[in-house]
Amino acid sequence: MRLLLVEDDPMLGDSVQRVLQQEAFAVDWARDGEEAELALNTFPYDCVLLDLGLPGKNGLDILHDLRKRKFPMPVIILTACDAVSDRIAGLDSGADDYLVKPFDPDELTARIRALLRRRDGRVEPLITFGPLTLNPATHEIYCHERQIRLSLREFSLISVLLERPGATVSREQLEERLYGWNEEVESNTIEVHIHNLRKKLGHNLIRTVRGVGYMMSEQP
Amino acid sequence: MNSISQRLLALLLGALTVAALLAGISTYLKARVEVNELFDYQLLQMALSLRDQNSFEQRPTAASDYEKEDDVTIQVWDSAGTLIYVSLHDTPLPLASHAGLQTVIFQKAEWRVFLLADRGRRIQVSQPLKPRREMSFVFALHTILPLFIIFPALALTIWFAVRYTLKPLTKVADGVTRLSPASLEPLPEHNLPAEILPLVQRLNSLFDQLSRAFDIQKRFVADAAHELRTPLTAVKLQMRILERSVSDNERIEALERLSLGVDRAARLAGQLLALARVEPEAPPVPLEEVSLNRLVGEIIVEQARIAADKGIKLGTSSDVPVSVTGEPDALRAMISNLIDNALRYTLPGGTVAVAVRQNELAAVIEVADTGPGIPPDERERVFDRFYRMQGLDCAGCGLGLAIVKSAVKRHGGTIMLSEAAEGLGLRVVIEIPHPPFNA
Repeated sequence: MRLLLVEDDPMLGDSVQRVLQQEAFAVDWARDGEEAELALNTFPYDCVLLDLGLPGKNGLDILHDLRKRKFPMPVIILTACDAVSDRIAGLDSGADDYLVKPFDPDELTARIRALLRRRDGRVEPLITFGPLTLNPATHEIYCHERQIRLSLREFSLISVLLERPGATVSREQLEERLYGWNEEVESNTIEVHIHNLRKKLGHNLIRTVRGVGYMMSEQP
Repeated sequence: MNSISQRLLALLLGALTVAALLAGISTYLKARVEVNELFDYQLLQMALSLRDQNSFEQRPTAASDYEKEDDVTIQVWDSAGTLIYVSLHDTPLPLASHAGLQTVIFQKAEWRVFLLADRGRRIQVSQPLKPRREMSFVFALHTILPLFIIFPALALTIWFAVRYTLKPLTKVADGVTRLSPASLEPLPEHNLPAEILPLVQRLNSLFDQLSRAFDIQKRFVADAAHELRTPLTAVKLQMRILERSVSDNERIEALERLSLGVDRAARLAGQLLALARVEPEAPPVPLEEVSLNRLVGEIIVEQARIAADKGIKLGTSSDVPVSVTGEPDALRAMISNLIDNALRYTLPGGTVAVAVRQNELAAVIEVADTGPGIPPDERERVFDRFYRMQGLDCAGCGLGLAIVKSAVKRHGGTIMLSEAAEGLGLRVVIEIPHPPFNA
């Protein structure tokens, strides 16, 4: 899952980015309005975390533009403005959620998960596929009722593949969804992760579609 | 008695009573003089009329009427000194000591006596003074009685007049009662008497200043809370990162960042307090003679470590002793923030130079750095609270220059920003006038 964080304060931006990375999200951090717009034009982020008091272009203006151009991604406003009128203005401008600083990191990630769930049209918090059960909140994964230990990346990868189980996802797409701007990806990284996942979950769950990418398969 | 209307009423009624009494007394005194003259003349006439009467066998006719009415007693002695006649009065008075009019005391009462000596005979006509006094008193009473009769009506009139006159004041008081710190509406100024208008105008201007100060304060508190939330959020997040750190390296790094976040919140709190102390609304502090050379020296020693760590040359040049009369803490905050700012924005290898000098009118403090400077169109806004220049990563809390400006203003001085040299760096020049602003 790749998120865009728009925050001008270096200390806060750094902390939010690190917290979210610990939660297996890939996070791009834009420090002002222009950078944010550029990022939004280049990648369909899973979720945008938007600070309002930005130098250059105001957060609400970015939001207006985003929605005017029919960009559907979930947007959470992160701000220190706690007045009810500010919240209303934020939500009515097209935000999906509104968190007031100082917020709890668990609440932030829970809200991101909730928005992603809604985006994917799921109702239950657990993701199930064949013998697999994923808990996005705890990063736990069970295969045939047995808990499997996965690294954060591996967990992210399987989550992305499980978003639309019948669809094929290319290696490039996977790279884009799993890695942020400043993270180096080696050419075979995805293959290595897939290899490890197959070892842990069994070889038949992830199928390679030659020349296209990978897909989840329930057929043994 | 602490009510204006009661005071006025008491004063006016008191004065009226005194006036009435004075009128009564003066009437009484005047009447007495006139009554005396009249009665004395009467006694004289009576004596003279008796003088022409030879025989006193019969009652003297001329006296008969007066005798009854006014207690007049007539006595006649012959040349041998025998009392040959006493009028009906049963209390014969002693013979007066000399001829003419006189006042004698007889049987504990004052009498007016006229003694006429004529051919050996002595005729004495006497009258007690009491009826005269009574008569004068009646005259006086006639003068003041009407006054006392209209007294209640007068009191009532005064009461209403006072109430009516004080009505605008009561209205103002009611208006003030309805005010609260949250809603300091100006009081209406039309139709006010000249005595109250200045009071209301002064009140209104005070309310205006107050509500403006309240607004500034409210905005400041909101801004401060807003600003404090950022480092606090960062601290909260960094604690989570620390919890989830798996390696020692990660933990050490997380702890360092955590401590930076706490430092930032602490510094912000310190700066907020410093700003509160130099604000125009802050209470004045006793002024002291402050040596700027020494103050700058102390601050440079404090900050030398930071400068050395960043590889910045920090120095001062001050040949002449310069001192100002001012608030020591405000001056310290002013210079320390200037140097702190200069160090913050100057790149390693740069220079920060502090100079203190004197011109005819003012003490001058100058801080010049080799940092990025401030573009001319931002030179006004950098003094705003929480304003931070764009594109600079070494951000402070945005209060430094606001503190400097407030401190300068508090000393009646001026501050000017310019380029340090050929489009490079920032030069801040502060002038604090001699003699001090409020001397």
